[in-house]
Amino acid sequence: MNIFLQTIINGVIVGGTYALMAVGLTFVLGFMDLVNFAHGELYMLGAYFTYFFVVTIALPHIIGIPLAILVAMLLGLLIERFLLRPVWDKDILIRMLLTVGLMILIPNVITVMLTAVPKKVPPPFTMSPFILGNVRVAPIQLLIVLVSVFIIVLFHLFMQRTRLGKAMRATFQDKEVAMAMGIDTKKIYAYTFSIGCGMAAAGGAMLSMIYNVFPAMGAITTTKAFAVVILGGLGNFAGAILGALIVGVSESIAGTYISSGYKDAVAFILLVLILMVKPSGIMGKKGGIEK
Amino acid sequence: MMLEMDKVCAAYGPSQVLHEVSLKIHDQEIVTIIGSNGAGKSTILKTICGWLGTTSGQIQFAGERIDNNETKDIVRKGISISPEGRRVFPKLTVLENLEMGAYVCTKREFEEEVERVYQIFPKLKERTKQLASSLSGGEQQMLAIGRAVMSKPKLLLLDEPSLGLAPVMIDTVLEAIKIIKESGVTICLVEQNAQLALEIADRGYVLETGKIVLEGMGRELLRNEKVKNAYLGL
Ligand SMILES: Nc1ncnc2c1ncn2[C@@H]1O[C@H](COP(=O)(O)OP(=O)(O)O)[C@@H](O)[C@H]1O
Ligand SMILES: [Mg+2]
Repeated sequence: MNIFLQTIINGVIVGGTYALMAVGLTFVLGFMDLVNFAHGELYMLGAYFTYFFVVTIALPHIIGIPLAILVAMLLGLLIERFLLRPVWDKDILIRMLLTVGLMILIPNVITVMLTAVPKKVPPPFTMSPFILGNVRVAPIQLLIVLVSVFIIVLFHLFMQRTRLGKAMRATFQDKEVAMAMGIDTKKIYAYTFSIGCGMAAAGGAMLSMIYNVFPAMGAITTTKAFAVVILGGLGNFAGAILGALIVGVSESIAGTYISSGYKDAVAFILLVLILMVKPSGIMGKKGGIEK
Repeated sequence: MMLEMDKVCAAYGPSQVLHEVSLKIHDQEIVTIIGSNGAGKSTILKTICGWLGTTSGQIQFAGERIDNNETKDIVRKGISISPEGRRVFPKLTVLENLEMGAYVCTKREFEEEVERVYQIFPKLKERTKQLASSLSGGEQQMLAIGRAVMSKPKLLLLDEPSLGLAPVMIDTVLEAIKIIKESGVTICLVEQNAQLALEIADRGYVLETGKIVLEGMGRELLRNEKVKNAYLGL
């Protein structure tokens, strides 16, 4: 029983960071019709930027991590401005291939610049695990999941409450009419993509404190985030969060009771099973993506 | 002079839709453009609000050329549109839709204006927290018009506000248009329902396959034999 409980809790903690990745991906996908295969690369860059700020120039985590996220968001603005903006009106396939290009380019640039040798970012503190009964939770993991939840909640409030958030929703519901309201829709596209990048980078920044940082870490993250997003229902935020928790917990269960070697396959097995029952994903709408 | 179009041509890709359209809208007028389906009425409004570029000719607003300006800048000059088919933001609430309408305004102006819109359309106030997609067709039309006046435009473009509405609802919308006019807004009303449009308009233009073929005072056009035959079904 205790092992089971421990397994579930571990799963929820991992699921929390998957949720952050998936929400960013589904946001850009649902709002901008952009299938972003480079999402995981921003996650990877978030980790490397954190390494740079926290290890190379030795800033405290509390400054280094937000800076890393900010730099990733600025990079997102540049990618949007110079690569995506010229092709927004073109076929969805062109944009998709462009992100595939980035998915290949970015890790290779990093490898050339920094080699593929894994790097480590030390956690901001060392503390013995919290122990509740027989269940142990590492404080750093708890911190990571809480920050993930915090970012998702912040994002939600931003979209629902702020003028800019509402303008984003309006833009992706009817771009032409949004323009007629005086909204600068070009900027909205840039901001939206940038926020998606920021969420990916935030995931990478936080996990850099417990996992190795290496150039190929983005690709597996992208595929897993896609599995989560498709599982939950394309473009559906609640679905992305639910999907993330399901995948996190199932991976943890598989790791404990079957073999940790199968862990990474779980998301995809689940994906196939759920799509066989419900092709639009757990919370997806039949009619397609809802903005 | 509020707005002047001078020999405006416009096209969708290779197919030209507007052929040297010239028209004038004076301050405080209601001007209507009538014509059958596909004549190019909506296209005229699209060139005014910047959704569609012109291929030749000029559009002047308050003495300044605005043709081929960006839509977001045209709103700031004082032109706003209630588009054909309403096109409210379906997943935004009524209040959020109105907030978007006031995107170019300050928060203070928004708060004042929203009260005014709710006075004109009390129904919207009851539905303030509802998603726009949950409104009836008539309510969505009210919202589209309400949203368009939120930016305190000098010129309001209305594209087929009566389309698909029940007669009582049409009356409500017409009343609202009159109130908006009284508050000093100049209105350009596009309608297939010529009878209704000519009754409230000061002046009107008749558009046929992208050309202005007739213009006159609203009353005059109502009595015009050609208009009677072609558009009033008399
Ligand atoms: N987006 C578009 N692309 C191509 N042709 C269009 C488009 N919109 C309208 N048209 C064509 O332009 C002509 C005028 O359309 P429109 O201005 O919508 O007419 P109206 O509003 O008077 O019914 C029609 O022949 C229509 O088929
Ligand atoms: Mg039309």
